Amino acid sequence: MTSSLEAIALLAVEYLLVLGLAPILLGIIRRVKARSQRREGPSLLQPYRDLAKLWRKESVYSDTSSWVTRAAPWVSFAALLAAIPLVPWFVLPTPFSGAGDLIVLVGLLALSRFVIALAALDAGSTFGGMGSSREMWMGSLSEPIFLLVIFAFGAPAGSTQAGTIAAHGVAAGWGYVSAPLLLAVVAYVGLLLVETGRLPVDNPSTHLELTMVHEAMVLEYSGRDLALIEWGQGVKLAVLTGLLIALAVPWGISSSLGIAVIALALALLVAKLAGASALIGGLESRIAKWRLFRVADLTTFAAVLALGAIAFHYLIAAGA
Amino acid sequence: MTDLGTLALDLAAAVALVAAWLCLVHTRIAALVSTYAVQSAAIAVAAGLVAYLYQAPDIYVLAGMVVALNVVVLPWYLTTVLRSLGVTRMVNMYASVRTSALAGLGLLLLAAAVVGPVAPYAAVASAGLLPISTAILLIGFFLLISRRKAIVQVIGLLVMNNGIFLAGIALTYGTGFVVELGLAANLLVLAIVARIFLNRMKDTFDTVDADALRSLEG
Repeated sequence: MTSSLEAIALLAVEYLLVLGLAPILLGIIRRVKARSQRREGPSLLQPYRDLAKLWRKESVYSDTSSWVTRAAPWVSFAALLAAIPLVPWFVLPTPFSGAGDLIVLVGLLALSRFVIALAALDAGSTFGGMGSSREMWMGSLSEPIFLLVIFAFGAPAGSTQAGTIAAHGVAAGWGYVSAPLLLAVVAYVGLLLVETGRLPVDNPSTHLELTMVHEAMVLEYSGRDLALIEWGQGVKLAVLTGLLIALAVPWGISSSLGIAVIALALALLVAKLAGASALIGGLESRIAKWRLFRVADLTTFAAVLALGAIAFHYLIAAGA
Repeated sequence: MTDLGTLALDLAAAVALVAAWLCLVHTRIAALVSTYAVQSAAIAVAAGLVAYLYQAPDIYVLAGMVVALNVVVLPWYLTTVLRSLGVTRMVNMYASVRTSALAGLGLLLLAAAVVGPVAPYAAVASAGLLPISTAILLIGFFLLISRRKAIVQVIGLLVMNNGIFLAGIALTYGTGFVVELGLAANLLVLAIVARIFLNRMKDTFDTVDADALRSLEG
């Protein structure tokens, strides 16, 4: 067991890692997309420069907006920060794993989504309202199905704690891989695209307001607030990708506290995160944006996969 | 703990299942054809694994046949048919995309309930193979009855055939080499006949919607 001092040190490393790596994950996705369009693309470090520039600028608020607009970026970012310790990043058992399970994580993501949607309605602009309505509609579709996917991942380990599931996977080795796991991973990737607002659900680099979902909600924001929101998007992507890595390919997460093991686990984690971002970028360059109501088809398909994985685990695999 | 070979077999079957479900949510027929090719490839891998794990060398030939016919020839042939017909999308399906997807889940549950008790007696020691192949068979049948375009109904039949092939492999290492060979020849003839039929249909009714066949006047 880890002492509380070690737990705090590990947690600090986790925060540094996730907050520091979040922008470069966005950079990798943009780079892969640019290369697939035969463009050079911006430097991998460009998101850091953007954030630094926005951070130094003053925030401008609409006269018609209230305290909700001012508080929302901070609340949303805080909710995402609180989600970071719920994911097993590089060491097991996760420090402060008692803080909550994956259902709490889904709740925190919902909270972050909710406050931004509220803020988009606050200033009373048409596009903001449209963005909120779309985002909440998608949220209402993806959240229950996200829970189903978590149950699909958790069924073999009998737990909704990400740390317990990953520990089960590390201990079982190849035996962790199974047909239900494959179904759950495919379902998770579909939901990841919905939750992080990537193509084909939402185009993060669009400039056309009518097609925006998340971008439409943050049109009113500028300066430091916008930096927080964009950084938050990166953190959300990192958290969801990190969770996918921990649940789908948990091997390499360290179970002890030796310096060498931890360093290896850290290097593996960074490589896995970079690889997953490149995959998301590759996936994004292969699909065009769908019309809005096709999103329900995607979430239905994810639900079918998740329920199929659960049914498979209890009806078919268990009978063998 | 299962051994690696059976694990790979399970995964190949799962890929075939996901491909069958994907067939239910595609609305572009070209995507449907390529998904069918992916499914056939997964099934060929499964057949090859069974041949390797159970030392049944004639199944290698069957797997090679699936690759040649179901992965390469038939998708290519269907693509040329699609091009000559000029149809790209499914419209006015009898069941919507979402209904179809949920029906696909129901069919897996049905397959698990029906063949679950028989599964332990299958020749191949993979718990998922028989239920999955039965589900693929049922999903192909659902595709056949829920879509209007005759070409999609042909693909539904081909998906059914994939399910039958996989079930045959799971139950008895294939339904006998000669039978499989005959089946494969039938598939090819079916595809050619379907093309002639579709072209005549297109000429007569100016559509490949099977509903047009219900009215007597052309």
